[in-house]
Amino acid sequence: MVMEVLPRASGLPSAERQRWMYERMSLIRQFEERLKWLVETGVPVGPVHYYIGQEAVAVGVCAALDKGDWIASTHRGHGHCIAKEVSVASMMAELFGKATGSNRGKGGSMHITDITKGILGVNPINGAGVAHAVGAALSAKVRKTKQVSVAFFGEGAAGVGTLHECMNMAAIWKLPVIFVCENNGYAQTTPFEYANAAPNVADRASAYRMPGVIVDGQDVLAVWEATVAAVARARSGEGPSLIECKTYRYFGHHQGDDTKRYRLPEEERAARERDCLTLFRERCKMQGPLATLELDEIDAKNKAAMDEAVDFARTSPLPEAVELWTNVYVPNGRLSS
Amino acid sequence: MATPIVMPSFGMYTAEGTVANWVCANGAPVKRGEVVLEIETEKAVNPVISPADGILSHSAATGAVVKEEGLLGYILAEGESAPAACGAALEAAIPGVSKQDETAAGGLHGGDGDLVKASPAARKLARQHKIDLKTVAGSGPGGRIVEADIKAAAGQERGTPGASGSLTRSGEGAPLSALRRSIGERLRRTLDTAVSLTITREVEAGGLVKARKVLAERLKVPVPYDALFLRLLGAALRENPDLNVVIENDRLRACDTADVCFAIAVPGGLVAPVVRDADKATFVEMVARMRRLTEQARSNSLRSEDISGGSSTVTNLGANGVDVFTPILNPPQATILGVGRIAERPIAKNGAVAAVQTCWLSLTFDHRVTDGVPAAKLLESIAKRMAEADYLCSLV
Amino acid sequence: MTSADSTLRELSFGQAINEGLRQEMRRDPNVIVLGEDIAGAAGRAHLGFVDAWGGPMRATRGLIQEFGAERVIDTPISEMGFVGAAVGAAMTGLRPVVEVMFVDLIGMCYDQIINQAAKMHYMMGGKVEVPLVIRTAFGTRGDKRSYGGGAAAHHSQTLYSTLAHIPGLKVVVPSTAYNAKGLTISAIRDNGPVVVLEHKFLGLQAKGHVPEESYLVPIGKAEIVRRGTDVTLCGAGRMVHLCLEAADALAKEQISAEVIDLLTLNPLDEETIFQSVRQTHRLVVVDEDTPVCSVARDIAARVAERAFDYLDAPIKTVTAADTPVPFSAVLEALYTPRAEQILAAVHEQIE
Repeated sequence: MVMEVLPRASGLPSAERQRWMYERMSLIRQFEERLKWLVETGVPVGPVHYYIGQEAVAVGVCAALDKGDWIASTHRGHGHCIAKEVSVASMMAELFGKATGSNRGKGGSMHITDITKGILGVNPINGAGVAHAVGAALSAKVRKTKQVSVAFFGEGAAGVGTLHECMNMAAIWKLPVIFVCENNGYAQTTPFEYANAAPNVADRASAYRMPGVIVDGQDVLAVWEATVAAVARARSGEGPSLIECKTYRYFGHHQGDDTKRYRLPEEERAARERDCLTLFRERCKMQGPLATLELDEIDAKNKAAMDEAVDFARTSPLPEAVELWTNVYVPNGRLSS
Repeated sequence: MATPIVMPSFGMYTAEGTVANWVCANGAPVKRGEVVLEIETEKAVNPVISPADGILSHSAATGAVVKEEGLLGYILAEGESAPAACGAALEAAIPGVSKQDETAAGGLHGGDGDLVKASPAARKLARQHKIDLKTVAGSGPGGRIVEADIKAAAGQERGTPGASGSLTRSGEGAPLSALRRSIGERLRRTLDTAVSLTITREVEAGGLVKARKVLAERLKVPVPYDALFLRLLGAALRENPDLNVVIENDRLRACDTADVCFAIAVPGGLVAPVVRDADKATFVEMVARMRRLTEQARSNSLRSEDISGGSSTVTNLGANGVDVFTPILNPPQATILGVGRIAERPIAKNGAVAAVQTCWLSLTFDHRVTDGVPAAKLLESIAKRMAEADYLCSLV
Repeated sequence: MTSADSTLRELSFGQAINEGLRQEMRRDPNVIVLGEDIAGAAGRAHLGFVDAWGGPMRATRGLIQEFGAERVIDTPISEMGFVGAAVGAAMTGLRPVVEVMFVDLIGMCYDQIINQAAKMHYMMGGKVEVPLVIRTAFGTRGDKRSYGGGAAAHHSQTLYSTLAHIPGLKVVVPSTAYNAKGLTISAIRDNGPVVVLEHKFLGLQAKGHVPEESYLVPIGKAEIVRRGTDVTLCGAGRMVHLCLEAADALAKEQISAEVIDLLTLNPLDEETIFQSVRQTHRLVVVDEDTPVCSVARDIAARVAERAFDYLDAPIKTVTAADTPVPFSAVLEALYTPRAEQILAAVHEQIE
């Protein structure tokens, strides 16, 4: 089984881009940690799935995309949305079930979307989003735009039939889609090694004659590098790629899930020692391009942004009762607003 | 400022939890983020953290079941006391639907006993016209009353007599009303199944007439002729048990008792309620019972048990001037006694003609069950007793 | 039903199902259970991890310790695959109990259920049996919350009309701990495919006395859980408790409501419903599913056709709104049937 390796991108991202990367990872971390606090002090946000620990994957991938490119996300989608610059205030308002939320209170955590930011949706049906991303790539090809799409999926979804159908179709039609597997080791409580015959998800790529690479998901630059190459391949019409990011979620599958029942404490400790934000900071300390002070400022700004977002969510109005009935069908003649 | 400790959500499936254990005591100083109590749900025991620094105040007791968003406790400042019970009410009013005022619910049930099959449209119209559904015969499927039947009934009630309301003098003529049609069909079915034959006999009735007067005085109630004929027929059936039978689907069933029906004309048709043990029930009770049944029949409040059963029927057209007729059997009965007019008639006795009160009896019987001779014997039993003045006058 | 007698043991809904599964697995070695995280931490027994969840509702907790990983099987996320595999296993000697975590996921394996499991016995001229049980969770909450949200569009649906619709597929909906155990056992012993829909949010309403021994609650039989004379209310799952709540409120208005727990949606116990309507002359069907082509309208049509003459008022249905399930709690509370809607329906029938 030959695994093609994508050509490495030349050089590192610009300082500007790196600053953006840190700012996004830090914001995701703060959003999720703030959310966790709210959940644990009684805010009824429905089921939520924290992205904490995996920030580098969403950010590294999205850093390599243009604004017009698409992503499709999973149930664990807050990170992807923030990486695509969805307003955290609108996300928080959505979680609070308010009318000012990104989905006007009708979607919740597992469906957060901002289509204007190129997000096909957060989707809790495993594999559903992957098909949508493939569809977006097909659309780009037919309309002859130069857009690409990214299909995020967890390693648990690697067992879903849709994945295989999608990879095969993308390959035969040479669609401009990038399959990004976030392998955090666990599908709810089921370990990856139990549920997958092959030791890596990337191993499957060769079955569909597409390049498959394995990347350290805690290193945002490594993720970025692999994605840049995949994007170039896609945009040039050469077809899909599969990038498997090995990463880790610090907390349980959803709130209330006790990870001590299925994960060793030393494994959790070891994962936290390779925290993507810490790694980034350490690298900057050693070789730049960003000073520690700058990074601290970014953190502080993000904290303020989160305070504002929570305030906004708390004070926003609830949806009117009539909203139960709107948007079931689309009125003819125009897009429903 | 008191900060409430609010029950968190522990993911899917759990809308509530039980306070398992307060980790920190009431009044203890706690720090923000410190675990202060444990909530037990179906899935696990979950820690709950303090939202702020301060003094812990318990609101929910150990063992209490609390729903999401429910109040668990407070974090208070030094010297502060917990807010009053309703302080943490987070309920939002969900728009409700206003209750309709109840207008008088006139009878939540249909009448007990018989079900009257009627369409909603018919019922509505009947309500509007204040027509009792029991007085209407249905022309719809299975005898269901439909709107047209009510319309017809309403037309009749407005004073246009009988069927003439719907009779037209010219053209094709009016169709049979639903009621007449259903009566006709029932009778046709009887005639088609049974092999009917009517035999007649003229009987002296002087004793009967006298007995009726005597009994009325003694019992202090009016005594209808029907009551006497019920008794006579009941006793006769006892003496002729082979005719005290019913026949259904070609199966004969002997009756243990002599229950006899009597026909009553009601608006729209005929009913024949039953009197049990017509041969031996106390006569005064029989009379009372018959009066009650007649009232019920006229007010359409007979129940199904009043009109089921019976091994024979008395039908009396005598009051209407009819002498002899051919009554139609009342299935599943095998006999029916028609009573004709009691009148003075010229009777030859010992060569001379005298004016004697007589009554013609017309007995229709089902030839599948019996033959002319046994049927004649039944008439004989009746005739004999009618001649026994003592027998009749001593009825109690 | 709770009891004052402290010696009567009370189980929760999930515990009752657990006991039913356990007793059947003890009785019959061919009964196996499979699904995602029905034990959890699969393959990690050597690290000391076993039974991490025991199922999302804890209904399968403890089974892997007693029966081993050969009979209690955690699956990858492959609904079409493992439900299909369960069909094949059922055709060849096993009696699998397969879990589809949420009824909203039924689309991932719908072919295996409706085309394969449901039709196999018929298509093969009766020569093949599929004694398969499919367990799945459904439903919304129903309690009022002032903000925030629920499980939203993909984790709150009811959808059982799409299953009850299929000839050959039996569909049962327990409502209490007692009937949850009995129906689970009946479903396992049934020689054909049975879907057991387990409401996610019954909570304490469903907790009650459960006998220790094995017992059956028959499939295809509804239960009158409250006698009344003026109107019949019927529903399944959480809606039964909602009907009882409405009946209490109606009693205060001197309206006596009879409440029927449907328990089985297919085959539906029509007779019990007809008998009840013969006495009360009024029917309100309460259904947590969306209205179009729903079980509620199916019941209404049957009663209108066969018990027409006993009706004194139009049959009323109270269903979820004809929309996807909204996330926001205040909207979800409007989406789902409420007691005041049942009261309004009854008031309209009794003028």
